[in-house]
Amino acid sequence: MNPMRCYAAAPVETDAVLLDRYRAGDESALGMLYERYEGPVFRLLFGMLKDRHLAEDALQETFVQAVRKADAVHCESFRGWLFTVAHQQAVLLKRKGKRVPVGMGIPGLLGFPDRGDAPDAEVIRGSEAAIALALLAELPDAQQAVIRLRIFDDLRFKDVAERLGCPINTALARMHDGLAKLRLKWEQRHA
Amino acid sequence: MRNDALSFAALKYAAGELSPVDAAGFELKLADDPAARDALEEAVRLSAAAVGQPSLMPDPLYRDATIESLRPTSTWLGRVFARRPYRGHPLTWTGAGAGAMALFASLVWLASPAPQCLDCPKSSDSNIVATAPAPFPSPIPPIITDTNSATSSTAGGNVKGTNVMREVTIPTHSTSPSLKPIGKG
Repeated sequence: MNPMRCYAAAPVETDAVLLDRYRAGDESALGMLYERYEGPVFRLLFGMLKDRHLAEDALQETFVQAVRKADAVHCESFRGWLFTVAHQQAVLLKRKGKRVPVGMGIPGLLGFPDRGDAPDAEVIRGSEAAIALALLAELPDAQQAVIRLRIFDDLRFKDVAERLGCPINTALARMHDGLAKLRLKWEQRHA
Repeated sequence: MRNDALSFAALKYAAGELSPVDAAGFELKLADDPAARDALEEAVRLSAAAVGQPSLMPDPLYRDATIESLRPTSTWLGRVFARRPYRGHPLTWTGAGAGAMALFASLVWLASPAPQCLDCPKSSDSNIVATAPAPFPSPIPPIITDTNSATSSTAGGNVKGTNVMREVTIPTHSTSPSLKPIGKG
């Protein structure tokens, strides 16, 4: 028997364990906590603020505030606490009058082609976008159509539904499911 | 199980398609409902995937800066010499700023012309000739002396018609000699 097979994967430390380690002076625990939550918190902030740099600033402030006041919360609910602080930071920035683009979607904010541009030419500019386009072609036609109309043609969901002759909730469901499949295919490709 | 209503609302919110009233309502839900936060996070993640950014992440520099700012520094000396997310030490930048200001002030001082006297004549005006100043009038009016009584036996000899000072002894408590003009009587 190969002794190497006896080794089990290292157990993932819980937030409570990492927080305790940080409080005991282990700085690496803080790095692990940050790595665990920077993505979800950043995406929440980006969704609310619609500005990458604002979201990054808010993310930094969120972690500083959350960790400094973490003694007041239960270790097990650190994730919820972090998201609460992030929401508060986003609301604070919005109240301060920081610029938040109105009526612009996430794809547009991430540098996707504006309305009127030739979609294929714009997408092929970047290899990542080109891969996304190739993966999109593997999706069912109904989901493909919604994603193309919403993202490439920059139509509103209401107009997409009208164009496809389906209720808006159907269009939204196709969009959600199509994007989820797209992401899954992406992860399989890059695994 | 997926909450369709929440997922669709999050998709529309991320796409900027909710009306202001609905968007405010969704943000209120974000404050209280963890499921709404998760739905928005997922909507952003999926939307980013559609444009070839499936792992939408912040700049890694923010991680270093955040961890650095949370690093505990116990003593004041530790805080002074603590590592910072930016290059250099605050004192270094303070000194550099002060040096730059001093250099700037010196350059301004050297570049400015020397101060001029407005009342002074210009050197090109050659018609002005220097003259001696007028004699200052004496503040003491001349004293007319009696020629008869002006004759004295002091070392000064016989002096007539002039204002003569002589040393006299004042018969008072004063012990120091004083000068007194010779007058009438």
